[in-house]
Amino acid sequence: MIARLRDGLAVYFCLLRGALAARMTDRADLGISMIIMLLADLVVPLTTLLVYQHGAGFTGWQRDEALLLQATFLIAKGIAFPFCFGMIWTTTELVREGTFELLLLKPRSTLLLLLGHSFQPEDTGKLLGGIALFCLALPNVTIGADADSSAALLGFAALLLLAVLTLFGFALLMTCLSFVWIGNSRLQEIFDAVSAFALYPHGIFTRSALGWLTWVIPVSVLGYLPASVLLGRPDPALPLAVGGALCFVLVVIGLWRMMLARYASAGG
Amino acid sequence: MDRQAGTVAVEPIISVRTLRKTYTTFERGSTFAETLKSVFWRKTREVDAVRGISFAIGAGEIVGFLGPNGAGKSTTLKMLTGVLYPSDGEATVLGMTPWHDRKRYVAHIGAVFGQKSQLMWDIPPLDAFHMNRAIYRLDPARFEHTLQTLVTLLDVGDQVRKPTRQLSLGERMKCEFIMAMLHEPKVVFLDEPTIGLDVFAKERIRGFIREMNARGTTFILTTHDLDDIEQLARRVIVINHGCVVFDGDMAALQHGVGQTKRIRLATARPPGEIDLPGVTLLERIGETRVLLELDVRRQPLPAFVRWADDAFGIHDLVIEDVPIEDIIKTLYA
Amino acid sequence: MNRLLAAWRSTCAIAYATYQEWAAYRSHMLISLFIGPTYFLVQVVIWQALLADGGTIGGYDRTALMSYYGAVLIVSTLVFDFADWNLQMLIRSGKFLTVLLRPMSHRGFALSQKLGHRCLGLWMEALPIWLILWLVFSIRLVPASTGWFVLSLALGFLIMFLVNYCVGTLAFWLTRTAGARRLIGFLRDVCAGVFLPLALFPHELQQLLFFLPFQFITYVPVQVLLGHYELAGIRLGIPEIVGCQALMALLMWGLSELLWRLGIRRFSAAGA
Repeated sequence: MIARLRDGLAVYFCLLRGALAARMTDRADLGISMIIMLLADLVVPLTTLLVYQHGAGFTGWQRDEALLLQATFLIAKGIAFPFCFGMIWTTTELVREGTFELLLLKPRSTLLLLLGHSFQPEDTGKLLGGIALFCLALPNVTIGADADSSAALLGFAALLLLAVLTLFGFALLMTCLSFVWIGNSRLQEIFDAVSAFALYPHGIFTRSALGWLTWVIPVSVLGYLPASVLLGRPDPALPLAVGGALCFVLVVIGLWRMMLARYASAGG
Repeated sequence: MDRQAGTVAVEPIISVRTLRKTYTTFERGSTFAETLKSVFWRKTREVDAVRGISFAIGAGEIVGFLGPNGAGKSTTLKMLTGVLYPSDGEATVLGMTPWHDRKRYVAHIGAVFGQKSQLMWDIPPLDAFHMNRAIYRLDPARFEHTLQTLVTLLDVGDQVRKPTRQLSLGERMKCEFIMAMLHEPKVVFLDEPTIGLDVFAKERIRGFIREMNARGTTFILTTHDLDDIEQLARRVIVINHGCVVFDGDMAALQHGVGQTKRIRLATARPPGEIDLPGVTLLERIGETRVLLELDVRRQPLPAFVRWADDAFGIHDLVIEDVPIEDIIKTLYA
Repeated sequence: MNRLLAAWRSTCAIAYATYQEWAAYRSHMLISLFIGPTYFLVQVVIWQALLADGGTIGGYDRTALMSYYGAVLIVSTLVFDFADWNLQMLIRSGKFLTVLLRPMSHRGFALSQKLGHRCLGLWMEALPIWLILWLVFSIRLVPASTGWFVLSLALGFLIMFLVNYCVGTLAFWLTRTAGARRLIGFLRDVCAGVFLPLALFPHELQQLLFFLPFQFITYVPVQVLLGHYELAGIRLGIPEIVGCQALMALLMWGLSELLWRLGIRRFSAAGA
């Protein structure tokens, strides 16, 4: 089991090195791309800052608490995007060119190969932005209830991991869609729109069906849930949300298997 | 034309029985109304790409698949490589059913697609080779040895270190072959491996295939290039409209249609009636230009040339093989 | 006169061909019907939470902000453009040579293409979104003056195209432009007021933005639609600001011409 895992990781890192080497051929472009990834995701935090400056704000959330939430989402994205989201674009390209079969010709898990080939170093810009924002906001908030900060940190780490896993689920879901919607380069925009809800405290959905929806389509898991645990006021719906997120990922993996089988039976 | 079944002397390593593949495609119009309608509802159509073909291939053979575009060659090849499930029928390659345990199966075969690159555009082929070493779980020492052998055979020692995008098409194709053969597959599938290459590159690739075949690799190739078949394959399988229309010796095919040549003739004087055994007039292109078909068994080429020069005076003469479509037409008739 | 007529005919022919070509990618456009309203919904929910007690921000109350974002959605859908991507792709892939062989300026060709693309976008994206805004969010956007709005929108459309076209010419000098294009595109949208009304920006920035082409792409048509214009404390009548827009379009036309000529010289010199 461990040997298989190590073997799989060896392949993955070999592919990742290749993807990195290919991207490194133009460093200037890579640098600019990283900056833009950072900037684009700072729009909402900056807006939040502006809004709080104008005296408005989210009820029950201090300025730095709101920024912490947004930083959490950014960190999760900063991990998931470089490693998973390139898959959507790679698949779209391969399916359009009719070269997806070449992946099927390799004696390895297609998902593993796809992930390895699709590493996007520029998206680590998001991670840098997230960490910077997190470090800025952290000193001005209280961690955990009753000064029990280690439990809060542990819970935060676990939920952040879940957030990354959920983001992987989203990436895989859109990869599946790219088989159906051949040549559609706008799939990621769907995710961007849906995940825009993840940048705000769950409290803004008071008494609306949308609030429930953010548990079912696991969006609140991406930022609000880890942040609220870190701040020591976990949401009562936490178990439900965690269950929802795990279900989502499992369903998407099932869907992926189905799409792969369907691709092989329908042909390019 | 007699349709003889392919005879396999040794135990077959590929056997295919009544393999079928049916696709569903969508029809879409281009007018405004049709576009609007197709947003909600699309008309589907069933297409039979492969309609129950059967054959067997023995170890160490080189077999050529011949047929016009859309005849079902590539679909057959995809099914045999395990990337496409058939609608019906059976196939066994190296004792395995290709589409059943794909990951285990593809470790034992190689494939080169003339129009689909397995290399990576921005990095040198050598890096891609090392990637394959990890993917195929190859022993490092054995990998180095195989790599050396292949690189020497194809003479690409310097090229494998350059970024792929800087290579010529011929160099790239050689690297594609290395990529497909590093794991020493027993069976290699080639889909139009010489497409777009110049004469020298083609020669080199064909020489390589012959060499690897002599070392025990079985090759199955599809091509439009009759030279590929003539120089490599001892056996051809002609596919048209998803059916096998000829399966047999290269010699048998040559005997039938290879003995026929197309001749474009430009003459000094307008050629009148051409009444010579073994010569058929296909087309009069101009007053002094004709397109003829010549059966060299009935009318040897030198004799024809002498006759034509005496009769009308030859200005120009071009000898061509009969186009593949026409061969297939003959076979299909 | 005959030349003008011929130019108009070829524009129509190219636009129609592009329209046909993109009709095949209708799912591409249908995604807009999901994305646009979803972003809008986010704005609705957020500003509802932020300005719950009838507060205002930068002079906007909740209703005014919703109208603003609704108008932005419609206008940005109609002026949407990717001429920069197209041009750099042509240059990078070498297909640019075939462009030079055409007896027509490439800029004109690309603009005609955009026209066809947006004609399709008008009924597949903008009109449905307009209906969604009205029926779902009860925001009925009716231009204060239809004539001026159409004119301002057309100018915004043209300036958007010219800005992107200038960005696309970068490919004459750089081998890879993806990063630079994204960066400029992002700053363009920020400065055009797509994310936030420009009135919420710091005053000095607003003053700078007044002289840049970006506000004329989205912000100005939106303000014309809503019926009043103000930026950096400068209040202008609708005809005046549309006049400024026309001036900016002319300037950008000149700039694109200049960059094109310099680029061509470099392209031929490199012998690519």
